[in-house]
Amino acid sequence: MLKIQNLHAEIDGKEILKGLNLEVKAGEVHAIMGPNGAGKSTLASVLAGKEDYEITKGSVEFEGKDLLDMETDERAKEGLFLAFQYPVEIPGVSNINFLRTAINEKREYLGQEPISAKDFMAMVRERSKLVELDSKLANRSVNVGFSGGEKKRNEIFQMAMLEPKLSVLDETDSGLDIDALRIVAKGVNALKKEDTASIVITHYQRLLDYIVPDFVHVLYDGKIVKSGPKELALELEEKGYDWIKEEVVNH
Amino acid sequence: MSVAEFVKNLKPNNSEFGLKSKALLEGKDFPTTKDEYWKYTRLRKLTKNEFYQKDGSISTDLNSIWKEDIPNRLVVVNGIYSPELSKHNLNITSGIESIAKEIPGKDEINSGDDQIFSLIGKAFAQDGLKIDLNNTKEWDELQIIFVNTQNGAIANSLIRIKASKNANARILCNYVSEGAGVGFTNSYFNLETEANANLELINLQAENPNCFHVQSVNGVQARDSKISVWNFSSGADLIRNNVNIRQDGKGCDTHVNGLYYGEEKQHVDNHVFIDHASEDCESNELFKGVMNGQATGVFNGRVIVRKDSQRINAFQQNSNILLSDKATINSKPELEIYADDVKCSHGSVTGQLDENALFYLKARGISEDRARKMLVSSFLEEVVETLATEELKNYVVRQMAQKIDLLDHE
Ligand SMILES: Nc1ncnc2c1ncn2[C@@H]1O[C@H](COP(=O)(O)OP(=O)(O)OP(=O)(O)O)[C@@H](O)[C@H]1O
Ligand SMILES: [Mg+2]
Repeated sequence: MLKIQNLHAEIDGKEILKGLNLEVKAGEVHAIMGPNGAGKSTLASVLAGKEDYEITKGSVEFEGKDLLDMETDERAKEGLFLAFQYPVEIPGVSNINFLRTAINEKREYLGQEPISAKDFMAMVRERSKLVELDSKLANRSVNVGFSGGEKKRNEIFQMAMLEPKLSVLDETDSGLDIDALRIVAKGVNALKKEDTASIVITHYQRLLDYIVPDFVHVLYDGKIVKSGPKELALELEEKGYDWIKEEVVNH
Repeated sequence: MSVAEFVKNLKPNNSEFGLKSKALLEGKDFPTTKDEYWKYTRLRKLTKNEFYQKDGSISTDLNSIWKEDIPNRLVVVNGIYSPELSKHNLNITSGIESIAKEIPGKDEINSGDDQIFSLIGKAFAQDGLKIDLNNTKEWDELQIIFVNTQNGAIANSLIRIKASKNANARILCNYVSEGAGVGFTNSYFNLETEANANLELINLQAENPNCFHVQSVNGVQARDSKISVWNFSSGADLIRNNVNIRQDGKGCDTHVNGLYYGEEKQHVDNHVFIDHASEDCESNELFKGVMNGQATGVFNGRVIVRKDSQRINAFQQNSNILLSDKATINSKPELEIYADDVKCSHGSVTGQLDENALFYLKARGISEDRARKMLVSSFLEEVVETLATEELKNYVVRQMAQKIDLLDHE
């Protein structure tokens, strides 16, 4: 589904991703962990198409197509979803209108008819229930006045509405209490299908108790420096990153 | 440049106040950027042209402009009332003499600006409208379409509107133009509200890009009355709006709101002056603008609270978005407060479209173009929301969207 090869990206002349490789197949869940500033959010932004980053080397293939060649909205229409680490507040744009616009633009792109108002509202009710997002929030301006936890749930709600093939969750668990964490995980798991995949960026192994990954990767200094089964997360939680940094240096 | 040169092709009307106004123009020059209230507005692109008084038939499709549910409709072509195209059942009289006795030769509100354009209008207008509103049970609604036929036309329109005691009235004014060449619309309103009257004036300025529009709205309010003025500006190469309101009685409420969009080299200037000449009054100003290309915008909000005008609330907000780094805005509040029991606030913000919000929308699959429209529309929404009814809000957005490609509408 996703194939990242030797990806180098820089911002304001500073190289952040320094030859990153990652392959994600349909049906898989990949966790990415790593110290602050390693480049995890940078990877997520580069995948989503943020223009501030310059790709200097490497390639990203998504469902057999050149992802880096697509506009941000095209990537989303092709089925990529990024749950932001810091969701943006957009005063005056209602959550509902924005989602209906997004869904209909995607449907048009795929050659489908626009969703009917009735089907759309039914979908809103069902999916907001899934992440236990107060339906009142759906009518408010995007993220404006939402608590930290509500913003994160709103990200998963949007993901549920847009039904992406590949979702990248950037620290969706940080700032969540244990109940919210369970709800978010429940949402993610409910949407898991054979032909979808996710990349879960997190600092905490506790999320991985709920969203069980097939692989855990360590991103350090712009590269994936270690990959392993889900037990790697436990080891990282216990020992921190120093031993990995040493391994990298000694290599 | 001298006013005499500019009016050389124009014939004065022979009304008493017309001649008085003409005398006041003698020897006058147009204001320059050295004049305090014209600091950011260069008149050269208007005054370098030759203008003529014209009558004429029109080809504009008025049906695309009429707001269907308003029963009273007037059409004014190049400043001249067109009875054939109008229908109404209100108390309206036309002709220069109809307003001659009611408009003094010099403006009764001293806004600090010497109001050259009001004087030109009064001296050279070929017609006038006197509108008396007295519906105390429900709202009188009236729509006026002002057409300028360009080809060098100057449209001086003089309108006197009086809302009598307890009356409620809403007047929607559409400014459009047709034809080639330049056109200048110089419109003058004299508003008066008697006690407890409620008068709304909504201006939609949507002329073609080679037109110019100077509008002067002068209003005087008696006790417990309300005047609300909206300026929606989405056309013309140069727009200058003056809204001058004086609260003469206790308990008055004044709202002046505006929304403007400029692109290429358009220039939009809103000058508002509120004279709190009585106590227990309120004023509210909300102006929002979006400037694209090399457009320039000006907002000047002057508020005076006189010495004995206690318990005044005066609020003012001007926010702007610059879509290009060549566009500019000059925003200036001017508060002169001589009373002590006063609540005043003003704010002015100018920024760019929020890039993070834009990316967020695009990352959900919304095209760049649509995402920009959503953000611009949501920014401007606050002003549209101040209109009284849903139909009116939709109407205004629809009309503006015909001129502004950046507005999101159904
Ligand atoms: N405009 C910029 N100019 C220079 N460096 C930048 C810029 N933006 C981000 N960086 C740097 O890029 C590096 C990677 O940041 P990124 O946000 O991807 O880290 P992260 O792994 O997501 O960290 P965290 O765990 O704290 O979220 C950081 O060192 C950051 O300071
Ligand atoms: Mg991060």
